[in-house]
Amino acid sequence: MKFTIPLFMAVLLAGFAAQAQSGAARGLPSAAIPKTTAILVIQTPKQGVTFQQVMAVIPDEIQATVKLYLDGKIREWYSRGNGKGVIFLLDVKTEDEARELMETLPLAKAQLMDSEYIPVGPLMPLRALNPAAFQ
Amino acid sequence: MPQQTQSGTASGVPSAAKPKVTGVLVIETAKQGISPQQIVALIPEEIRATTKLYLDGKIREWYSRGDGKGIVFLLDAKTEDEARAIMETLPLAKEHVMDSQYIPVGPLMPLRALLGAGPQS
Repeated sequence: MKFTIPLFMAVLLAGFAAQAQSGAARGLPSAAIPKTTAILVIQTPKQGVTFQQVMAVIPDEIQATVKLYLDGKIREWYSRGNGKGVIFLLDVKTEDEARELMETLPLAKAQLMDSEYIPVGPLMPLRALNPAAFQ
Repeated sequence: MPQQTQSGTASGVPSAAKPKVTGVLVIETAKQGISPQQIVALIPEEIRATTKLYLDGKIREWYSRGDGKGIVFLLDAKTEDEARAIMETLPLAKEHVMDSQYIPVGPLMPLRALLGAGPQS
């Protein structure tokens, strides 16, 4: 193991070299970048927004959110443990698509929420479990 | 509308809005200034340890970030401390090369309103 570098590792290191030349900012190389299969959205109330302001819009928000869920657009949904916002896993392929969806919702339209978007996909390091099979 | 009595916290969020925590989302990214080589060197061990956690039922979901900056896990844990204890068994965390953000999550509480009027549980 010390004297051989599995193919996956060699690809990773080559990817780093390429990325360094292109002056890319910190980040793992392209071999680590998955096909995006969903977008994680972390939505929290803006600074200064009160619970009452949010609650006023909640009945409409619930209707619109459940419609998105029934349409297959929301794969998973959670409330945050501190009660301050939600986390959705959206069935879309790009951040722009995700933003478009979220902006149809009443709370977003009322400018009450901040949203963070994280594209996600399959855990790429698993490829190294069997480099020969998974290249 | 529920009265904000006992919660009385500065955040003004009544406890009725807080879910039972059923998982902890972990967003883990490489620390600023860490070279990719430092991470790649640990990856084989990281994969083994992570897969063991998954097979143990501790990792409910796992993703790579689309921007290549790290990973996102949904851990089967009830508190942030539990989640941290799990993540700190992993090689990358032990080497202090990663930043981790922990977000406890639970069922989407607003759906309670769909149940209509009736005794609040």
